[in-house]
Amino acid sequence: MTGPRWPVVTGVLVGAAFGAVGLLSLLNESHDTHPAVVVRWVVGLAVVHDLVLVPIVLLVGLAVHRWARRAWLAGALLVSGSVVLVAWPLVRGYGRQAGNPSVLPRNYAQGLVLVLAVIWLGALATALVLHWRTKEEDDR
Amino acid sequence: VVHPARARLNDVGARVAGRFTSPLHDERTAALLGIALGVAFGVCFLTGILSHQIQHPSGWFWWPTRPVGLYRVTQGLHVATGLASVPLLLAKLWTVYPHLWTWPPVRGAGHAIERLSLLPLVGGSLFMLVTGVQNIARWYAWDFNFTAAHYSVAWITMGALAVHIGVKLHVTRRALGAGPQPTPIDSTLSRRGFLASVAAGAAVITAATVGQTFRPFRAISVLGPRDPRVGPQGVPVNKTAAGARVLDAINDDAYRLVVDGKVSRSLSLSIEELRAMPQREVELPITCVEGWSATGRWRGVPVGELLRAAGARDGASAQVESLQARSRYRISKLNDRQVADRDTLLALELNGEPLHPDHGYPVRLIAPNRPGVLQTKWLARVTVR
Repeated sequence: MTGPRWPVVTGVLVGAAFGAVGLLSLLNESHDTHPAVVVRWVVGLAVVHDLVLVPIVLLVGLAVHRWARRAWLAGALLVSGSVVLVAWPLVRGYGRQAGNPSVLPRNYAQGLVLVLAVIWLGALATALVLHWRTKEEDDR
Repeated sequence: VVHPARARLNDVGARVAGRFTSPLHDERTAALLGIALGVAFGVCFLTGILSHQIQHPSGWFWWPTRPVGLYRVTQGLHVATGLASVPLLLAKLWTVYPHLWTWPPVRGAGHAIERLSLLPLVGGSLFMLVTGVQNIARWYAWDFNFTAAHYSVAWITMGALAVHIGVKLHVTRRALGAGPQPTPIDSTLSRRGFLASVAAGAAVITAATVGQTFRPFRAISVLGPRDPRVGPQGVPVNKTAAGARVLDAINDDAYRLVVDGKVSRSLSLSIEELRAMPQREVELPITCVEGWSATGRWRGVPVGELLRAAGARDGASAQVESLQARSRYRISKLNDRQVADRDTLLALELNGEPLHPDHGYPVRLIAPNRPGVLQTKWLARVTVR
């Protein structure tokens, strides 16, 4: 490790203080926080992210790089993937509540398709604009 | 002499580490994404702590009743920033992912501690965003109480982030000081293209959801967990009267609102008696901690008027209590400033009609600049203090 020591010292001091606040809150309110469950989720999410989600993304990235090396394609996949992750609980409607139609009131499957359509149209439009621009530069 | 199995393992480890050939796994990309993510998490943390303090105030904490929509802005920002952080966090973790397979995995005690400190940072960050997204979709997939766990892990994650920033500051400065290096021509995405895609992801997610609180976007926010127009009387609802098991109590002819505590005369008021008192109509937002909000036209008795009628002293504070038998939020407190504010109402009407049972019929609290969970519904009692 190189660089000055003060950022490390400051970071560790602030980090220890914040971490202590969080741990105390986690343990003091254990009837609400269920620390063992929280730890399982924290570790579980890190493991699922590192061993499942990222490998999938890497494989898709590799396939695009090998067989369809297009910036707009990679960009559209990146944006689409993020949107799908966020929209997934809504599309599945896990939170729907009988007797309360104001919760998740929209048709989210339709909404997601619409957003994805906008993303891909946007990506294609960007690709076309960039293509024309480079062509103009080449022609000059 | 190195054992042959060990040598083989070393060989495999080195080869795995060498497989990450994208130039976007570099320091500069990580530094730029890290700064953006740090700012976003900072906003989330501050607005989150603020919301926590408003609900569970420490002695030193002071929160104004004006502007009436301030909490709507801070909490809307909290949820919107958290949602926009999803592509930022995933991109950042992807950029630094090869370090996970660094070989040898551990080079001494310092290195081991540094690596271990990444578990609360990475796991904690994922926990914050995943539980946040689940909560606004009302998908309670866990046994813990969301607010308590989300609050505790926020401090731990930000603590781990402070350590991380301290340890990596010199790398960030080095990466940014070197200036932009052109990405190789055979890279699928240039660095600029990658960062622009991440920004586009954040922008699309924001536009598709922020309409749940920011009305101009409501038509295009097709992925908003709420629509501020949809609900009884055109206002969304979190807890219904049936869900709160108050239907019998609110329809009972013997219903009375009791005002007692530090008063010179206790009151017990029927709905008709409440309607006969001086009324005030105000436009106030109902703002959920889950990031949606909707403006309503509320009409009812100012709490200050009611306390005056009961002979409470000037500068009194109060607490209101719901008919609900069991709920974390059945009681909420009003400090002296909130009581004195003319817009703090015991509302009987919403948008020109008597309150819908799901909005708290016969009477609910509505006060300026407050989270919805503190706007207690189905009131039974006001205790003056």
